[in-house]
Amino acid sequence: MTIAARAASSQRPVAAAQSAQLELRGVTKSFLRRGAEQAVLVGIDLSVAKGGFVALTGASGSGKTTLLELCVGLQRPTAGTVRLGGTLINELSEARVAELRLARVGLLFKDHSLIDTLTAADNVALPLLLAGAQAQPAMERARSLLMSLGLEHLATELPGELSQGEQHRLQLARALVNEPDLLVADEPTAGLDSVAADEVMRLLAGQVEDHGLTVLMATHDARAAAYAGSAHRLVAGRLERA
Amino acid sequence: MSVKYGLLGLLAREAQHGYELKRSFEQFTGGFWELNHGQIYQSLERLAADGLVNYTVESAENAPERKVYEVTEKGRLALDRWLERSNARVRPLRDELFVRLAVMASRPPQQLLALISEYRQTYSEHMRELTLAKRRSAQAEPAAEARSPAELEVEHMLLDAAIFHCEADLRWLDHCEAKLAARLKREAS
Repeated sequence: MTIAARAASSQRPVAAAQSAQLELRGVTKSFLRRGAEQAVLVGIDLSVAKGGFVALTGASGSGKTTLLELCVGLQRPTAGTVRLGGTLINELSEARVAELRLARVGLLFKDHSLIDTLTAADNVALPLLLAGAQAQPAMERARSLLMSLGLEHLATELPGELSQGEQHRLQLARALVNEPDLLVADEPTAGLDSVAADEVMRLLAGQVEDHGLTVLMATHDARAAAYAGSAHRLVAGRLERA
Repeated sequence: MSVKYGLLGLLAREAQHGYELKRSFEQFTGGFWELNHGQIYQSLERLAADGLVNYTVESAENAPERKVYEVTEKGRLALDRWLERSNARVRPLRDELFVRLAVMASRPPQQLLALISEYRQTYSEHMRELTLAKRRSAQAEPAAEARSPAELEVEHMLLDAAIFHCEADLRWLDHCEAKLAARLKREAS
């Protein structure tokens, strides 16, 4: 892609709400704590357009991870609606939501580590195999994705042999292998030094610009948040424009 | 001081006229140290008066005359001496926001929080602009930019300096906000 084309795509206008990849309306989430109902998130309205890159910031414990989990049906809202690619997911069964997630969502979560006994390419292919793909096309897809991300040299390595930064980039590859409509990332730069963090963020932003990926990313890292087209902040359970 | 030696450093690479120097200086300091024409010409006059640069007057058809500056031997020596001089020091931290916060100290925390929130938005926006500038710069082809990979790398490092400073400011704003929010909570209970 030429520099001019990149510049043009980075300035792509935010699409109107009807083409939202993800839409939350009036979402509230409460937990029972010491016998009392405690609201963690209150009246959240959030819309992420197709091809949009939105950052979610806020202090530790402000509910960023809970909000991400609500967006992909890993938790259910106490009130409000969550639409993923137009589908109202808070009324679907667990099994249907899991299916939808496997097919259309990429997850880049802190606790989803790589499997130590599988090579990098096998790790990347795994979500496809779990979704029922044949081994050979799954491996081909994994290898071509690693190539397009500039990670082909890692294909036969075991995770234990990789640096933290390489592991993060590999986790990103794994999250992208099913060509998701939406990637949800929780602190993708956590634990990385600033050079490795920049590499992960450049890779992620490149996927948005060059391939129209939609991203919702929670981060407390201001440098990472600045890669997103827009940012929202969670303050006392409510969402503010940042 | 830095401007004077910056210009001398640029002229040590190649002779340039005033306007070119303005552009080269801004590009070489990462695009966020702008000089006005007055500063350039004043510095050049002083450098010429000290014998550190010479100029020749170039005239072309349909264009005003312009002075093309080049560094003298004395200028090169002065530049080397400046580069060798040990001059590490901490830059002063002065910001209008500090004074505003101090003046507002005994006002209700909500007012201070509003001020902090306003600054945060400005800094977040600046951070996005810097990040975009850095990504554009990273995508630039060294050949097309007439700069060496080493020069581009330093340009990235200077942009990183701006980004890290902005990050520090944002972290500090978050920290202030957390402290004020905690005070509000204490006062409410």
